[in-house]
Formats: sequence, structure tokens, C-alpha cells
Amino acid sequence: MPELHLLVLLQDGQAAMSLAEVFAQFGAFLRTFFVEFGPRQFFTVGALLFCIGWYGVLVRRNAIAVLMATEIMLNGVNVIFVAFNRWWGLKITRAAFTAAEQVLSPVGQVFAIFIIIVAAAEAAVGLAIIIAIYRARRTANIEDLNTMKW
Amino acid sequence: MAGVMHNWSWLIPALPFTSFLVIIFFGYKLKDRASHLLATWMMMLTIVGAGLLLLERIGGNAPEQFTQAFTWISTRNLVIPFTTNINNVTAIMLFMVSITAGMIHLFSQGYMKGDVRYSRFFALISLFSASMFGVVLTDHFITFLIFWEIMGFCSYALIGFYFEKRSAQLAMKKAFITTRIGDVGMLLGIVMLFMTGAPLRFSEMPAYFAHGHNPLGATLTTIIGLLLFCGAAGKSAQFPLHVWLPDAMEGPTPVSALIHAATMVSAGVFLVVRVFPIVAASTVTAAVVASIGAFTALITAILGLVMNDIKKVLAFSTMSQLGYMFLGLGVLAYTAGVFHLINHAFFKACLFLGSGSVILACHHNNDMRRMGGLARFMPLTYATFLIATLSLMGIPPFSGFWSKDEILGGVYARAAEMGGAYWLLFIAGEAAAFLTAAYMTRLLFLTFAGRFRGNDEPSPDYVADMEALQQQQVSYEVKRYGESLGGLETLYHEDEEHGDDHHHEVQPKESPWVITAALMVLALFGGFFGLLGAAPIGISWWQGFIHFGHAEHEATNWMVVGISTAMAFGGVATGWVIWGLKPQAAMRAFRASWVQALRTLLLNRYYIDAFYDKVIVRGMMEFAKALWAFDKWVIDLIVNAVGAGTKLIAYAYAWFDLWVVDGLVNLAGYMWLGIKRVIRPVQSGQLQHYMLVVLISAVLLWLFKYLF
Repeated sequence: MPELHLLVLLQDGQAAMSLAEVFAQFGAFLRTFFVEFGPRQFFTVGALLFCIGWYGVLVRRNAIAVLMATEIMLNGVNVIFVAFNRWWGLKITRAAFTAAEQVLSPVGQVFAIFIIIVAAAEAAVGLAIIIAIYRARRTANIEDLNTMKW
Repeated sequence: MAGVMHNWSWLIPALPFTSFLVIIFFGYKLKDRASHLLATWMMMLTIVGAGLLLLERIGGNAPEQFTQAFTWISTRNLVIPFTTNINNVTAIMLFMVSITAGMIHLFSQGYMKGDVRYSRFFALISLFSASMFGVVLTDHFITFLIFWEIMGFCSYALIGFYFEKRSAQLAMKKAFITTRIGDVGMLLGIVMLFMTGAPLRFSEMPAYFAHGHNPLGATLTTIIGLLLFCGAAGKSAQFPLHVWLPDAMEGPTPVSALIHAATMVSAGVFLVVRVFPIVAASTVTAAVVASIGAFTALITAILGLVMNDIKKVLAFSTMSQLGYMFLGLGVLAYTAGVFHLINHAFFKACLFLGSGSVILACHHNNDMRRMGGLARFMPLTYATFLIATLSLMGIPPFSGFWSKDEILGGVYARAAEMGGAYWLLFIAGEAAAFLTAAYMTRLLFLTFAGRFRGNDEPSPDYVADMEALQQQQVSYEVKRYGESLGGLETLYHEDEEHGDDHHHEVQPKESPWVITAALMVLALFGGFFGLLGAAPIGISWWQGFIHFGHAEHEATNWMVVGISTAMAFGGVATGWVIWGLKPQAAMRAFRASWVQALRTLLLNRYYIDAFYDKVIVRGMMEFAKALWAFDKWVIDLIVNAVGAGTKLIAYAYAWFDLWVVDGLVNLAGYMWLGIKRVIRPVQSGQLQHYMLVVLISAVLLWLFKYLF
């Protein structure tokens, strides 16, 4: 699978490769990226989800929307956890529940499940807080909730 | 059984000390009755104890010199124990002190009745008795000094018992300071004893200063002896420290009897008795002791002839008799000196208590010009007073005769041995014996004979004396309080039960039983105790009991006995003629100008007090004023200059602190205020700002990872 070295372009002040080579590499990358099934694809999806979530946190004014954006960030992380476990997870021997000689440790999945649980709890608490704030202040605009400063 | 009371002898001072503690701390809560009962019964117990102790000594149940110690201070080269040292002299002294003190406690119940500070009086005389027992019992010079000074304090406090009276204030100061002067000498003597390595314990002195091998040498022994005698002379009111005792009569009469007649003033003599080895080891010291004693005996006996205050006559008589004791000890007649000490204590206590009884009958008037004819009203007081007076005069067969005769016999023997000026001692002693008889006859006539003058129109000289006293009190009150509070008349309302009538008829009557009982006991001892040592008629128990070294049995010198008896009877006869019969010739002679001049001289006590006042007291005051001026104008100036300089420096430093130190501190504060204004907006409270910062930081970190 071809590497994507966009930022190495300007190394030592001169182009490491020509623009044509860059496009060629990018084309090769695109061609292979969507047909492979490997960690890279999962990382990309996870990172995209995380960035979308971050973007949502940064730009949305409604506190509920911000909360939702956080959920997206968490799920992006979950994808990466699971992917890591799938491809680089620890191999452990003689697990209690299988006769197999070697199995994958479920640590990544466990983390992901924990994050889901915590996210659910956090969503509940967060929504409750937002409702309470709304009742008190008649607004859920996150830009108005700026008393915690200095 | 042997020596039980010797082992428990510390109880004798402890019992009155206990009653002192109880009365001084709880006396204000107790009833008056409780105070005097406690004090008196404690004294009765000590009489029993002292009596048992004496019986043990007489029975020979104890060693010659019994000591019992517990160590109080112990250092490398000085060990100070509280030690009892009991020999025959100690035992007889304890017996005498307990009897007189006990009787005086009893007497005080009657005399002090209704007094303003009743319980304090009993507390103080208990403390005094305890310290007197301590003085008698203790063996070490330092502990002796402690008890000696407690006695001095009690004397001070009791002379000034009526401290609202100006005369009492002056008297208490005079007594205390005068005896202190003597005590300084005594302290120097103690220090010299210590520095020279001589023993500070009385029980070790006889062996150390024994004849022939005295390691100190004659000069040092003399100096130490004279210094110690200073203390004795101060306490026993001997010339030139004799001025305080007549003034000390300002105290209540029982105090005069206990402290200023029977016990404390005898403690000076007792000191010489205790250090007799030192006195005996130095001819000069002995001669000084004898001559001071003889001189005081003579000059004070003369003063007794003119005093109008009954207690002052007795005070001068006391000084005179103390002079006799010193005379006896000074001529090394140890046995006779101690004998006279004991006899005198008994009969003089009786005399003072008798005068107290008289004073009580005359509604607290001491002046003999307002007495007279009291024998009719108070026969018991008169009888006991007469016995004690005869004893004091030296009329055989009463106590005083035997001891005085023994002293004069000793003086005669010493004069015969040494010759020369020693004969003057004998002449002075005999002259004082004559005068003693004369002034006591005068006292008897003025007080007990003739007609009661207490309700007469006061004579001009009496009025003048009273007005002088009143003037002194009023001027003091004006100086002290800004106005007169009414002078002497308003001070103590002794006559309250008589209402506001101050000029009522004085009707003398016999005193209550507590007073007469005490008088009778003391008269018994004072009149007849001396028969125990009546050597001329063959009773010499005393001479075998009390002696220094080996008992010496001198043959009776019948010539001295004759002269003494003649002097006593001559004095009585002279007094009888002059103050009893009052012949025309005597009255004319009395009005002669030189007799009047002499009388003025004597009434002013040879102007010795005035001389001390003018020269020593005034000199000290001027010296103190000069020191005060030096202090004010030199020392204070330096101190103030230092103070002002410090103040200047402090101002400079305050400026520095305000503008430099505080400025730096404030600068730090303001700096942070400025920084705050710059960085505060970072924390905007906007969640999204923070997230943006995190994002930017993450991107930057990522860039750094790739760029560097």
C-alpha cells in the first residue's frame, strides 16, 4: 500500500518529488485505499469522525448539538480502539473460554464498550444539566454560558 | 523512754508555726475566739513539750549535747542543716520562752479583746514564738539567722500593729533599721567565720575555740567576736544601738512583754551565750561586751528615773537588765548571765503584763501622771506586780537578787583578777542596782500608791505632751491624706460602749481572770525561780545545771552580797523618801534650775536620738538626695539621650520601610495586576475557545514533530 507523504514535500527546501509524482502517488493511494480492508481505513474513518465531532463542538451554538458532537468524537475513538485491537491486539494464550492455543485479547473492545457506557451516562447527565440551565436561563446557547472564567 | 522529747523537739517551733499558718490564712473567716483558742492551746502544748524536755535533761536521760539534723542545703564546701542543738541552756531557755509566751497568749485574750486586728495579732505572736523557739533550738548559724530575722520582722510588724498612728510608724521603722545595723555586723561575723574555716555550728564551737589551741589567732577571734556582738547589741538594745527599744513600746503591751522584755531582746544575750566560746577566747571581746553592758545598764537606769510613761520606764529597765546580762557574760560569769536572763524574762514579763493590766484599767492610758492609788482597785495586779518589782530591785529572797548578786560577784572576781578599769564595771553595776531600786520605787508610788489621778484636771505638762502627739498625728494625716481625719481620738474606738462621751469618769477595776492568772503564774516564776540558784543560802542546783566547761563552785563573796543588798535597800529608801514622803527639801531641790536642766536632758534621753536623727538619719537623707540628683541629672540624661537617638534611628528606618521595603512589596503586587490584565482574556469561559486552543495546540505539536 503506497504511503501518503504530503508533508515531506518541502523537506530541505526543495521539492522531493514533482507535482506529477504527487498526483500519481495520490491516485495510487485512492485506488488502493477503498478496496483494502486494513487498519488504515478504520483509522481514517475514526479520525474523520473525531474531526467532525470536534468541528461540531467548535462551531455549534446549541448546547445539545455540542453534546451530540462530543458523542461523535467518542465514537471515532471507539472505531480506532476496535481497529487497534483487531490488527495489533495482544495475543494471549490459554484463555479460559476457548480451547484455541492463542486468542486476541479483547482489551480494545472492552475499552470501546466502556466508552459507550460512559458516553451514555455522560449524555444523560449532560442533557440534564442543559435542561436545568435552560430552565434557569431560558437559553441553551453555549456562548451565553460563559460565567466560568477568570 | 530516754530522750523522746529530744527527738521530737522540732515540734516545739512547729506547733506555734501551725497556728500561725492557720490564723493568718483563715483568721478572717474564723471567729476571734477560734484564733485565740488555737494559738493559746498550741502554746500550752509547747509548754508541756518544753517541760518534758527540761525534765529529761534534769533526769539525765539525754546526752550532754544532743543534736538532730536534716540537711537543708548541701554544696561542695558548705552544708547547712536544720539542726536542733539541745543542751541544758537550750532546755531552760525553751522552758522560759514557752512559759512566758504561753502566759502572754493567755493575757492577750483579755487585753486585746475587741481589737481591730485581733486574729492578726495572734497570728503574729504565734509566728514570733515559733521563730524564737527556732532561734533557741537551732544549731547552725545560717538557720539561726533565718529565725532571728523572722523575729525581727515580727517585732517590726507588732510594734507597728497600730500602724495608723504616726508614732507607731516611726517606731517600727526605727526598731527595724536599728536592729538591721547590728545584723549587718553579725552577718559579716558569720561570713568571716565561714571564710576562716571556723565552724558555723554552735555545737562545734567549744572544741574549736578551746583554750590554748584556737587556730584562728587572737586578732581574728576578736574581730569575729565583736562583729557577732554587733548583732547581739542591736537585738538586745545595747548602747549605741539602744535607741529603738523605748519607742518600740508603741506596740500593744503583750507584745512589749513578749518581744521587748522577755524573749526577743534576750535573744541577743542568747546569741552571746551560744558563741560564748568565741567571747571567752578573746579578752578584748569579753571586755567590750562587759563594758557596753555596764555602760548601758547605768545610763538607761538613770533614764528610768524621769520617764512618765509606765511602759517606757519598764523599757529602760529592760535595757538596763540586759546590760547586766552582757556584763555577766563579759566577765565570763556564764552561769550568772544565763541565770539573770531567765529570771529577768520571767519577772519582766510579769511587770509588763502588770503594766498592761494597769493600762487596761486606766482605759488605755500609759501615763503615770494619770494613775495612782491603783492598789486599792486591783489587788491581784498589785500583789503580782510588787513581787516582780521586788525581784527586779534585787531584794532578797526574790529571784532577781540571786542572779544579780551572782553577776556582781562575777564582776568583782574578774576585777580582782584583772584590776584597773575593771573596777569601773563593778561600780557601774552597783550604781545601776541602786538606780533600779529607786526608779522601781518611783514607779510603784506613782502607779499604785496615793490617790487615783485619772479623773483630775490634767496637769499642764501632760496636756503639752498629749498635744505634741496629737500635733504629730494631725500633721501626718494632713501630709498623707490632704486633711486631718481627726487625729488620735478617732483612730481606735476603744470606748465605743460608752457612747460619744469621751470625758467620762475612769473607774479602775480588776482585770479579768485570763490576765490575773497569767500574772500569777509569771509572778510565781519571776519571784521565786531564782531560789534554784540561791548560792549564798546553799542552794546551787542552777550552778550545777548551767555552766560553761566544768562547773566551778566559787565561795560566796559576802562583801558583794552585802553591797548589793545595801544598794537595793538604799535605792528603795531613796525612792521612798523622794517620791513617797515628798519632803520639802526634795521638792525645793527638784525645782532648782540644774535639776530641771538635768531632767530635760534625761527626758530627751541624753539627746542621743536627736543626735542620730540630726547626724546619721539626716546625713543619709542628704546623701540619698545627692544620689537622687546624680540619678536625675546624669544617669537619666544618658538614658534619655540614648532613647532620643534610638527614636531618630527609628524614624529613619520607618521612612525606609515605608517607601523602600513597602514600595518593593507593592511593586510586586502591581506587577501581577498588570500581568493579569494581559492574560486574563485567555480564560474566557467560552467552551469553544478552549476546544479551539486544544486543536491549535495539537496541530502545532504535530507540526513540531514533523518540522523539527
